[in-house]
Amino acid sequence: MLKLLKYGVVDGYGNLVMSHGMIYSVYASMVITRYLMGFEDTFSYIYKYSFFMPIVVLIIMDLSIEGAVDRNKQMILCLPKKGWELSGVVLLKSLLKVGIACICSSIAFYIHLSITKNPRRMIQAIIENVNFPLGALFSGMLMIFAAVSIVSWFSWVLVHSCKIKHKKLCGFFITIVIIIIAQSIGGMIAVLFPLRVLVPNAVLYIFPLLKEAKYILPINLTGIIIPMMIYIVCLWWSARWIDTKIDI
Amino acid sequence: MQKLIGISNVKKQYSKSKIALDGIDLEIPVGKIIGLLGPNGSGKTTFMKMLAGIARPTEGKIYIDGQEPGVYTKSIVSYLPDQNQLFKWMKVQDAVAFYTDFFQDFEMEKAKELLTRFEIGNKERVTSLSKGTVEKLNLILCLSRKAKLYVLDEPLGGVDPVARDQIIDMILDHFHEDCTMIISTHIVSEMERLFDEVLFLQRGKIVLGGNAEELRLQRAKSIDAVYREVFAQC
Amino acid sequence: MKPIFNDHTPIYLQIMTHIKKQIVVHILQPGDKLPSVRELSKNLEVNPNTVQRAYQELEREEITYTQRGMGTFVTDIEEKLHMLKKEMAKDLITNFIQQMKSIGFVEDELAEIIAVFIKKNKE
Repeated sequence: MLKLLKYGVVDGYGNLVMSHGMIYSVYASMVITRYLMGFEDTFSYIYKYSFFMPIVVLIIMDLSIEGAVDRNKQMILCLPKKGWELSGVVLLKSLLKVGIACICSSIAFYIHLSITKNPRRMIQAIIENVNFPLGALFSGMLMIFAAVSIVSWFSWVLVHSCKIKHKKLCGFFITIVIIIIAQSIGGMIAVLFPLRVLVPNAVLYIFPLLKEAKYILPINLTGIIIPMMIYIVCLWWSARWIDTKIDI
Repeated sequence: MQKLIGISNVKKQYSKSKIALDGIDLEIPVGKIIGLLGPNGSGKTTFMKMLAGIARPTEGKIYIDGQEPGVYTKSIVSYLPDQNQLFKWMKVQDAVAFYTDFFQDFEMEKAKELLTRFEIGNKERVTSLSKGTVEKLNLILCLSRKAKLYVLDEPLGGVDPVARDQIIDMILDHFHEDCTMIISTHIVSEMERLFDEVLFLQRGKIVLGGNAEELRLQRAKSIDAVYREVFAQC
Repeated sequence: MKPIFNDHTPIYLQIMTHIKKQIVVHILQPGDKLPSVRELSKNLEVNPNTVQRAYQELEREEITYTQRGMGTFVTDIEEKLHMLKKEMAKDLITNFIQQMKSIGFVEDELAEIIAVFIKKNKE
């Protein structure tokens, strides 16, 4: 499994497509949750942040570029590997991405704090506002990295295991839909049953400048755990289908 | 003779109108080179993908060395696809490392020796190689595995005559009595002498099959001529 | 001397003819070892099983014999080799007569035609 990770060859519909699509998905999930929670400004929210149009255009462009994806996957599927091994690699990959994202955001956070005149007040303001949409946005952003790999892999396996025509297009939309649903459900439950965690940011402790204050990164764990559970179910199905149904 | 492959009533249907394989029944023993002949769209590639374990029959069963296609058969079947499937970012040495890592039966020294013989540089990018060279590279990787079954889909596809000779040479060199090779082609004249048995596939059915030499004797024709005869009708 | 095969007669028969010729013209001497099945199959670009069959038939006709672990050898029984040459000549002559007949000659004419031809060639 580690060797597969080393080659980085087990993948979904391609990061190029998904990285664009996922920004859109997270945004869409925020909008939907907002609407369902009864926020009145939902539609002005859409107009205000209608940056997703260029993204949709980019997605369509990307789709047309994705040529050799299937053939490369053919090579992976010829390997004497069980379905759970291949899907397990996808999970590892996404966890790695989440880990890297955490580290990067920590560093960014630290830099930001260092140059702020009043770090304590800034932290305070953040803690007070750890609520939707900031909490959802943050956990949503973290989830992008997990979702990109996992769900696009699942939808690739899905379209190649069941009789689905227009595989690329359907695969792409299935991915978007699953992520929107997973993130929206996660977002709603996160608001109703928040599990706010103040994660000690190890990076910050290293630096003497910040030793005195409790510099922390607030996250709403529910918003991460719920979508992740849904994605793991997707992975489980993909592992099963690779062994029994996949048909290129 | 020991049976390696057993195929019973295998069908493959993509949709109501598209039937790729329409009832194939076959037994293939160890130690033979089988030629799978037929025009484009006859079902050759679908059949080969099923042996490789990446496509599934809609009906019927396939057994390779007593097992249905799965993890075990993938470890004993070496598949050469009709189109290059190596990753674009790979150099030749990456491809060799990949095969070494994932196939226990891969003989790295053999592969390296062949690469040197055919002057394929280790550090060259796969995308920068000519069509003939890529085909040779893929064949080297495929044949350097000590597999029980080699499934070669159009190994001479789009390759110049000199390279074709080299490829045929390589195939003969690697063939041994403990393995079986199934080779599909429509360049029949150049390959027919390799085949012990030939199977003619048309619209998903085997329309003719048998020992190559017997066919030559019976029909006083080359297999190539028989091919033209059989498929001229469609 | 790489033979050119036609594909409309069984290849194993053509391989046999090729080897017989080599024996008759002394390219292969009595007692000489034939190339291994693998070697020959590679040289001729032919399936090894086909070569194997040719070798088996040659052994059946007692033109060659196999020593386990050592290889296949041309017989050194003189009589056998004589017979071989005679048989090959017979095949060629039969073929010649058939072909001449097919263009209208009669058997009786043939001996004379050959004699005249050979005489002319000597001049």
